[in-house]
Amino acid sequence: MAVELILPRVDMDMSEGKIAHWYVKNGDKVSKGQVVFEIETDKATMEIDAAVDGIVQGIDGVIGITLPVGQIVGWIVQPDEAVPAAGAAAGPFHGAAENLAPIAAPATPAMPGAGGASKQLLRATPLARSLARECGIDLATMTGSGPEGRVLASDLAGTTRTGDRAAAGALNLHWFSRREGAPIVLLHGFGTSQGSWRALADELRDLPVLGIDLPNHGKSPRATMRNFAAVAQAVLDRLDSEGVNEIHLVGHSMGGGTALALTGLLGSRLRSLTLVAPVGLGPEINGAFIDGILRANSEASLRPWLAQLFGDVSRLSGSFAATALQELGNEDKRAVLAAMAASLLPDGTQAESLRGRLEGLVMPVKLVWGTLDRVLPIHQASGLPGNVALHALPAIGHLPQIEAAALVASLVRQQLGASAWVLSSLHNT
Amino acid sequence: MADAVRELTYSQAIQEALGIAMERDERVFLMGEDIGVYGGAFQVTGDLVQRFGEERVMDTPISELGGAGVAVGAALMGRRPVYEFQFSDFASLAMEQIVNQAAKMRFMLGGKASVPLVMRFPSGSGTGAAAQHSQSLEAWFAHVPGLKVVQPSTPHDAKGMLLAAIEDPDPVMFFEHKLLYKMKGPVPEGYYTEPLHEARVRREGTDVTIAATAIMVHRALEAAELLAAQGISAEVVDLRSLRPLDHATLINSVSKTTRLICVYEGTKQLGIGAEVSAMIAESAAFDRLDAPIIRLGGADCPLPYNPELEKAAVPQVPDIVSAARRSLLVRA
Amino acid sequence: MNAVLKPAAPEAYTRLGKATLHKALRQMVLIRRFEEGAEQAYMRGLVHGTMHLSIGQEASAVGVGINLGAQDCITSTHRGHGHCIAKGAEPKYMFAEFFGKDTGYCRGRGGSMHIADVAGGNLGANGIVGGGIPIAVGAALALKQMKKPNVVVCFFGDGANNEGAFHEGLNMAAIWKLPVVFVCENNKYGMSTSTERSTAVKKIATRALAYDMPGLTIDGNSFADVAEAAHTAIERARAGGGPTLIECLTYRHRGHSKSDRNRYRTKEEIESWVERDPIELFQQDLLRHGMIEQNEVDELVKSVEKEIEDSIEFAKDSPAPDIASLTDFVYASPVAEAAHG
Repeated sequence: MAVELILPRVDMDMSEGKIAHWYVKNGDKVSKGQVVFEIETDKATMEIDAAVDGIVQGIDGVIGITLPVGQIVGWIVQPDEAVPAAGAAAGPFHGAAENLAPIAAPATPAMPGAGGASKQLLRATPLARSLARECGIDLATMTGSGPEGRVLASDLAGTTRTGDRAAAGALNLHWFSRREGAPIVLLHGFGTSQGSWRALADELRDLPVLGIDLPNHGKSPRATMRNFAAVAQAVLDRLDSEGVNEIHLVGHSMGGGTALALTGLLGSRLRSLTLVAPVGLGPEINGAFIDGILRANSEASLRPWLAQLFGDVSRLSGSFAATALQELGNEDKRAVLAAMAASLLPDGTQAESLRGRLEGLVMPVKLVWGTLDRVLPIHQASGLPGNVALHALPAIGHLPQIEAAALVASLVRQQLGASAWVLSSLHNT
Repeated sequence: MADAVRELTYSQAIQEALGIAMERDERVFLMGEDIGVYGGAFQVTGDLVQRFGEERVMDTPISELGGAGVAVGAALMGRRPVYEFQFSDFASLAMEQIVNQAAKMRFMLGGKASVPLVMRFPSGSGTGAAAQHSQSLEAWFAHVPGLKVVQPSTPHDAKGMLLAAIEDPDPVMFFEHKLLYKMKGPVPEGYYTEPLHEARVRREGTDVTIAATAIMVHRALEAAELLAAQGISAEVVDLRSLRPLDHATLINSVSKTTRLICVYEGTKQLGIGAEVSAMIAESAAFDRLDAPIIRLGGADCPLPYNPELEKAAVPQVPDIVSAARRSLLVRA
Repeated sequence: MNAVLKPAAPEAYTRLGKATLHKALRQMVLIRRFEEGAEQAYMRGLVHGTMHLSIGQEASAVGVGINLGAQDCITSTHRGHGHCIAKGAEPKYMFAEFFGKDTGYCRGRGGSMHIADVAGGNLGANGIVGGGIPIAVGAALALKQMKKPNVVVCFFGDGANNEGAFHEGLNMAAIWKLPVVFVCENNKYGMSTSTERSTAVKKIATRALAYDMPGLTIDGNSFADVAEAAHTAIERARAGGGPTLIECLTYRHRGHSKSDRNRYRTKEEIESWVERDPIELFQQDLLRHGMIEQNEVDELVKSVEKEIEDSIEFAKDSPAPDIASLTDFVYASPVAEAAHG
């Protein structure tokens, strides 16, 4: 039977080769194992021998042409046998073999081309980008407060948007500690966030304590706040969505004004009220202080104003100043804060009097105020109803919750005890 | 499930798991150097040889490659070997049988074989054992499809995950940090298992996720306490399993906190933190990132002998605290 | 009358009997035709990767394999097609594997170097030189633990005897007295490096001394010699006597792999061994001893040729694996994709 001579595959990545030399010509007798031709591949040359005894026929003797692996280049026939016709095939490797297509050699990858032109670099965190996308804000118009001007998510909290949005998105709420019972709810003052309650929250960590970022502050969204009622409503909505029912409310400064506005909305859900140097009890407020902090672009220009907050200036730490600067944010955020201040404290005045909210409250009410408070003067605490207890803290400024955290915490604990007594006495009537 | 809970050390918990596994399944047997009458280099196997005999607690010659291969062959035939390497560093001698054989047998054979072995690796630095006895090489194995790689950080998890590993039909690489051996923790009596593919949130927080392994879990928890006093709320995730890696827990955590720090003892470059970071960057959590991801890993040098250098070569608690502060852009 | 005295039949022939001897010859021919068929397929570019042919080593594979039962095990090498067939592997599933088809022994995942059938006692050809040695020892340990009367035969080449795994494996087999027989097919070359240049001892079997087990060097191209030595060693192992090292001196007609240019050995050397073709020798010996007739030989060869042809057809017609199944079979107990990427 005639046996084909083929260009064999010899290397793993070989798909073609050349015959470099023929050792035989048509009509030559060969024996099994005798070298018939030599092939040349990418790697090296190799001798190919005859698989059977017989006579060489059907070779064209051509060398140096690239041929594909498997190409028939001649035959070894038996005496008196003819060379099979072109296309005739014998043996198991021929015929329709869709399932047996020759394996292609792996392709060598092309070199990548040169890069495109570079663009103006916009630095923004992925979170800032996705928030901007959601709110339709053009990041290119923003300056970020992160390193190298990177826009952070917090920079977007005070963004100006086109169109009026009546309702703010949900306020940011943070549980300092989750425990059983009605939580202590902490509302911060102007220009800061729930984080500023940490020293007090730490003193109360055996109790349930949460803080809320007011609109336009911290991680809460931007919203137009025309009066304290609007701020109070936003806080109430957030408490409701958190599933919080009864609370012990603690408000500082602007948060105090918010707490006063909340009394009417909460009704009997309010178990105790603790106001720390609250807005809303008199017309005076240190407007220059508010203007000053909103203008300061660096720690250096902010410090003198921050110093006004403390009874003992030595307690103003570097990290306090740094955090304060960060929380005031960039130009856009400050514009938003200024707008809120303008609504709630127009012309450096406490326009809204919330004194009346203290009338007729049955739950325990305390007022905590530093005698050296240069932002809101302590004398606004006089003339209040008799059920309101005033704690005047000597040598303390506008931040009793920081300058005297332990004391304020103990006063809050007294509120819890008193509230329990009030509750039980109410049930007994 | 399990009954009373008492305090055991991490190494006692492992010994208990080995004993329970051997009682429950006669196919389970132990191999390793000096694990018999000597009780194991770290006294983990203890008196198991008295309880189960030398045929089930086999002392091997110092032949990690051969021994690992024997474990592969026995597992192929349906036994359940647990092979103890004296130090994880010696895995390098056995890589052929672990990576080319154990990991690939099932796949190369088209699913028609299984290699249900466990290999245990005392690993990590801090004992002054220096460069060739202190490495954390788990990332090498986590790179190999066909292996499972776990790193329990507590006695409770060590026992439960070892029992699960022994029952698992795939080859499991079980990494034990040496400094954890004496750590005490609550461990239920009796038989129970922990899943081999789930991370655990060890501490909830809102400002930054700290993803950690082995002893770094404990350093991260210490750091989280210090950070809380500074007003930073850190969430600590104990990875527990490196292969498979629990993407869901990590993605959920980072989506919540918007910041990520990875803390691990293996060399920083191409260590497990590199995989976690890249995975997060490829996931839905990417759009929630509000700060660059920070990796704290082993320094780019072999583990030194000098104790101060040794400490400086791996992340410590202050490093984690300062990384969290950096992440939140809080100035020092 | 025939003046030449007929030599006595080898022990092995008497023990095995005609039927088994015919089976052995058929297996050797099957291996040869299988290898040649695989070679042809490869040269035509129909087989991915490369191939390591055992043409010329058939007596070693079958001489050992003929002594094994279905419950006995083998481990093999990258040059393992012959061992696999001697342990009962079917050419059609082997060809299917070479063509990367889903019907192959390894479902197209393993290829030539990893043919296995664990359920049938073939713990696998192995792509790592020496890789199968510790595995064979472990399998023997398992058999001993399970108190089974079976043995493991560990095939490896002269190259492997310099691997650390060889030394560690033989040592452990000896100290634990395990039922494993180590069969070294010394075909004089690792890839291109001769045993003279690579191995400190002249006879590999002398290394048995270092591990306190019997060692013997035999003519690997003589079916009778191989069958006899293997029988003794296997029965010794089965009876609890521990391991043996058998060195079969043989030769591979083809290069190491298909890209081997044979520059490291002479044509004369190759030719001298081709003349001692083990199949020819065995066939002639059987004829001489009246254990087979020529027409039975011809029948046998014809049936082998048909089997090879049918096997290739089967492989050609088989489906390729589904791309979507790429990461199947990695784990016996995989975890849900969704949570883990």
